[in-house]
Amino acid sequence: MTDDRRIEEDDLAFARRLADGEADAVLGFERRYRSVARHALRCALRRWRPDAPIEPEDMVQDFVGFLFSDGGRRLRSYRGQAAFGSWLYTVALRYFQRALSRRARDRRVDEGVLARLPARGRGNPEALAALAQEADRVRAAVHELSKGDQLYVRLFFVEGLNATEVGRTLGKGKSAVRMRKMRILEKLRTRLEMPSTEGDTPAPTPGGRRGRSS
Amino acid sequence: MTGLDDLEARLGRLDLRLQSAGGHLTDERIAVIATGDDPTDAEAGHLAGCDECVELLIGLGEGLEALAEEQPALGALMAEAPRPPATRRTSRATVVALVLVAGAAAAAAAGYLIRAAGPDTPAGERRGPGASAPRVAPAVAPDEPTARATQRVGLDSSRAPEVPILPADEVVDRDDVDLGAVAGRLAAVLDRAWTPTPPPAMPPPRVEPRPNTPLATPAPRRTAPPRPVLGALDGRDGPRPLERLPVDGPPRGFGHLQLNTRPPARVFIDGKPRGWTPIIDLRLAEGPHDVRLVFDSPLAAEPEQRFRVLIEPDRTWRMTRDNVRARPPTP
Repeated sequence: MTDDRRIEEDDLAFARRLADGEADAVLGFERRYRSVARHALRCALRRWRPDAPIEPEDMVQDFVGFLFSDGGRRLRSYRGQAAFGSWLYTVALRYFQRALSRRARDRRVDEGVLARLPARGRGNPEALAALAQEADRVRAAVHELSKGDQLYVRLFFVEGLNATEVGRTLGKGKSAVRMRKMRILEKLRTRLEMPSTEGDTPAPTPGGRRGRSS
Repeated sequence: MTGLDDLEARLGRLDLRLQSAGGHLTDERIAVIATGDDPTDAEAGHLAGCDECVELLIGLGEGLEALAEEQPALGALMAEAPRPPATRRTSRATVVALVLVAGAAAAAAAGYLIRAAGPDTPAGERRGPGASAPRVAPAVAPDEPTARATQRVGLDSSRAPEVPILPADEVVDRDDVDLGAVAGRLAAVLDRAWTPTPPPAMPPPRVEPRPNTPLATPAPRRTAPPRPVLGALDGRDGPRPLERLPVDGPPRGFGHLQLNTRPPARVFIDGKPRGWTPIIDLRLAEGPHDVRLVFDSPLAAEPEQRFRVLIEPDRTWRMTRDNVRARPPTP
């Protein structure tokens, strides 16, 4: 049995004992994993900032209560595929994300910010129509990509992440992510039938002749 | 390359909202994906369109990296758990390598036997002066490291000596040896010795007191370098009241920021370092962003400036900041 295998079994057994409320497991959770929940809250506060002050320890305690509620049902859903710490971090982050976005939803209309933004409607109708047509073509090409490629498109072009951030999100190397992005762009360009080098096609001359002159 | 750059710019300008399919991913799957596992097609399709799950995934990647940097002892708890397919792949590769080694060893043994049984050369010349006659059986018996490696991958090497190629005390005599019989025995030995056997059953996981578990003996804490932490938790002053668009708000667009300063300054946007001024056409999500300028120059009047910009979709926010210290009036 390798060390990794032993760790996995320990994590599973630990989660089960924690769900059963065994004293040493609860003590171990308080010692090591409560700080994981605290860190997850810090990360959540960085991403989803609430408008009103909150009491962080109260939120962490609420999360711990949620974890142990209903006979430890949440803890029993842990299957041992991920490390217990990663799983706990994910659960905590989702819990805090929902709690903070719920608070944000209460103040959904942020008039103070929106009022200062200039109006969106501008430009002539023909340009807008051309833009919409181009958007439809690109969207259709994106939908033809594989689901995995669409996830990369989402992270790069909707979320606006760079290669380092995408790599950190998906647990991949930066260069692998860059390579994947280039391949996706190549696929899209092929689908959109864009010429590879636009400058190579000779422009028609005013007299109707093009190309070489003898 | 120009075409790709154009395409990238076009993609950045468009609202590429994708439709979500299926239910939310479980927390455990998201944790596994964040540690490098490829999502399935269904999972990727859901992630591409689900705001909540993709925000969670991005936050998780950011949080785990920060945790590993700030608190290495806690970061060790996030180590990726092994998955059975990877283990099986490793075992299979090991078995293939060992089979190749066994094949090479068999070929060498057969060559040795043939040389030993050659009809032309006298035995004394081949074996060297004073050398004893080679015994075939010890030559094919697995040595200790090989036997240990064999046991590791679940092969039964203990069966190898059961069928000796020749009796251990029998001296190979090149006139009497039957090469066909030797080759047959050798093949039988190798065949039986390298037959895979199922690994021993795994003992059930222990659930009773474990004195040496990581929980009972906490790992030695390494002193992490002090990093700035949010005052929300440690100072108990509550979070900074900053305005952000909600996570489930309307679709976001992107705009650009052009920023120049005198003297040059390091730029931090929403806490992230973005290099030095001048910043030219930095792509940012629409909405408010906190900008911090850090002036290291002795010419600067203020060491640091903070302000907020409001990025509008498809528009560029241009700004120039003059922070040069006024010269004292010349007498």
